[in-house]
Amino acid sequence: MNMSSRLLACHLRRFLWLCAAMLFFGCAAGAAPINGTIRIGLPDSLLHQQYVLLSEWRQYLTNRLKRPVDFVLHKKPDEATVQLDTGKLDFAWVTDYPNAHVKGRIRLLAQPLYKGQPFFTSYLIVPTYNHATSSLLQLKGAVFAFTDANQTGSYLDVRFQLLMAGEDPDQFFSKVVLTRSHREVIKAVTLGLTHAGEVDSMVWDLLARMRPEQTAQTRIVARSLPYAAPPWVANTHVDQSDFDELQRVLIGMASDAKGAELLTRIGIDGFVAGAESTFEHNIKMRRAVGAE
Amino acid sequence: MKRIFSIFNLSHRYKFPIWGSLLILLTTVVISGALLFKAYQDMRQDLINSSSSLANTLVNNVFQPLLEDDIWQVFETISAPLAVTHIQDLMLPKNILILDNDFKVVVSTTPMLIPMGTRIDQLTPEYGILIQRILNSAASPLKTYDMEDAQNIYVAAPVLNEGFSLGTLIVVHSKDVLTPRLYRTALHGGLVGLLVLLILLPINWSWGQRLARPLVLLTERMKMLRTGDIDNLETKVYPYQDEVGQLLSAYHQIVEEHEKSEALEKQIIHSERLAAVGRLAAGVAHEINNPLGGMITAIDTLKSYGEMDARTAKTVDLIARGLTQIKETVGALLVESRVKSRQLEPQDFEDIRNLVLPQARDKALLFDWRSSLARSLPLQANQVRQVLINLLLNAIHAANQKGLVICTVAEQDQALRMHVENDGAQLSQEQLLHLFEPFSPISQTGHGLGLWITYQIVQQLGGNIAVEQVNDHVIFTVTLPFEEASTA
Repeated sequence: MNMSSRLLACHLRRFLWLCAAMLFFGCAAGAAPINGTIRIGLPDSLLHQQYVLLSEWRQYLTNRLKRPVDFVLHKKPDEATVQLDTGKLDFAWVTDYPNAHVKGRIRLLAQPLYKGQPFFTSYLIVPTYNHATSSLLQLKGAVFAFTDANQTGSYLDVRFQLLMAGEDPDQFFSKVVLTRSHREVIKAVTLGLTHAGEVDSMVWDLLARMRPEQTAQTRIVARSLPYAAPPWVANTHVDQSDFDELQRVLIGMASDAKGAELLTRIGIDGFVAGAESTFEHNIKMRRAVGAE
Repeated sequence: MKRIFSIFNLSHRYKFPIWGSLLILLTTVVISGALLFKAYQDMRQDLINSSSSLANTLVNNVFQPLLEDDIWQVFETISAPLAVTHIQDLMLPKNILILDNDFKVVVSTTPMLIPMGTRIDQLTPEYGILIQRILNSAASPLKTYDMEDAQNIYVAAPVLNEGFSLGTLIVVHSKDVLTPRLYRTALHGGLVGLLVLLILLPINWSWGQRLARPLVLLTERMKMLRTGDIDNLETKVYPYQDEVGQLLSAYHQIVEEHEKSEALEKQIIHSERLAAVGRLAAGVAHEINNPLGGMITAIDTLKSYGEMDARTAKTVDLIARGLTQIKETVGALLVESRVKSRQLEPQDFEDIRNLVLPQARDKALLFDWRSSLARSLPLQANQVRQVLINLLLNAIHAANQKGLVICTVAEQDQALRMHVENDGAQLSQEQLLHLFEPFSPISQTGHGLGLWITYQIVQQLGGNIAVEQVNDHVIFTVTLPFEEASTA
């Protein structure tokens, strides 16, 4: 009976998650912002089920844009891309930019600023009891945790580093575990499920600030080179005025109190208008690993 | 050993309750133990049942992620039931792990202890046995298998869908989770047991005491029987007619018989002593009588024919008087009843009454005379008269001033019965013992031979004399059987 209650709790959690997703999903999917509602896709991998924060952010954007805003939280990185492609989303914060498949159908809207720059880095972390590991190359044959198998960001970065070191990225680790969330990477490493993991610096730093007990059991072994922060993109069907309006609101967040507070809780400094030039390193890496 | 032995020597007053208490304790402990064992088995079965249901649910949930090699999803799914909650008393599994078809660990909830890729033979042997059992019963329709060792209970379920197997899911429960439950059950049971003991033990104690009481009493009385300090048992102590009751009544009988035989023995000893004294007295008297007769004759001759001066004559007189006194005394000792006299007539009793009446009047006594004789009896008249006169004079003498003397004479069962009763001072035990001896110290006026003579006569007539004290009255009872020759 107790077991059933445990399972029930487990299911309940999923159900709540679904409900939340539905909340952000809002009304039924349409083609364009006919009734004035703007639909925005967000990656769960960066925001990790912070529903209160998302709710406040949505309200903030609604107030600023003076239009209803719906958030759609994506568990998998390509869900956003697919929905952009089918026109179900107007805007999205995507983690797999630049994805050549949809590149012609989207426009770069804005990029988050981290430590004043539109670049993220990623951390190679191991459990604190692992004092031996000092570089990625020592982890050959290890069980390794990534957020997702995205050909951008931390996953791309690690594969690129391995390639540069003359290793086969597909054979280097004995097992790769994908957690779909940066926070879960930290958890997987902490619990000892994996020997090491690669996590976005933004998430690790935010967690180290907000929940230091969750990062205390991990040690940063190496920091990657900066790569372009995952950008906000707009569907091509979005009007220029809507495009400009959202870009203005996002960039203006850092300059008002509520916006600044939300940014702190998200873990970034602010937004700037997206620039394709920032993605040069990403594209280089993608080319190197054969993704482009 | 000695100590144990001394326990067996204890009084039944303690032994019954102690054995009873031990029995109750033993029963309580055995029943509690059995219940506890049952509770443990039930708990274990519950655990296995819920664990099996958990395993089945998990197997359904992890199949798809396993198929997709989504290890994190599998890990999250199997970790969910292990999350700590506020619910106490929860029999959480210790560990859940999933093996692939090559019996390597795909993922476990304790990756630090059982990391990915661990082979089954690197784990404890129990896992190997479990897997062997699953392999052996591959064809069986069972969904789950369970097994246990000293510390853990294992429940395994194949990760199976439409006959396509991805591996095996194993739920491991530490038996330690049963212990607190068992402890609580034991505590609860113990409290109830204590309550039962609290009720039963005093009841048992009182029952044991009740059962032992007549036995203990009987034992004490038995001891008294040996020391001669006999008292009748209170029959109220045990009113039932079971074995103990029968034992008590048997004891009563023994006591009664014992008392009777003792009284008889005393009487025989007394009679024999009196007889011996009688023979001695008679023998001495005879020996004295013969020379005495010669001496008295010689003195008489001397007095008749001898010429003596006044001084000698006075001395001879003195000797003659002394010898006469000796003769009287010796004569009294020589009770001779064998001399035949006439038969006893009712008139004889009237004579006796008239003889003693003046003395009774002197003390202003109430003299109650009850004689129912109407015919002459085959008894020696002189001796009977002497006996009755002696007893009456003694009674009158002993009775209080203005007191009471009762004389009853009756014929009964070929014998004459005479009762002489007075209300005078009671006789002590010591006095009663020496009552019929010559020179009795009771006698304050006579030479103390009255009762002795009476006794001797009665004995010689084949009768019986007894004394008893009832209601402050001293009663002498004489029974004289009729002479056979005369009755025939």
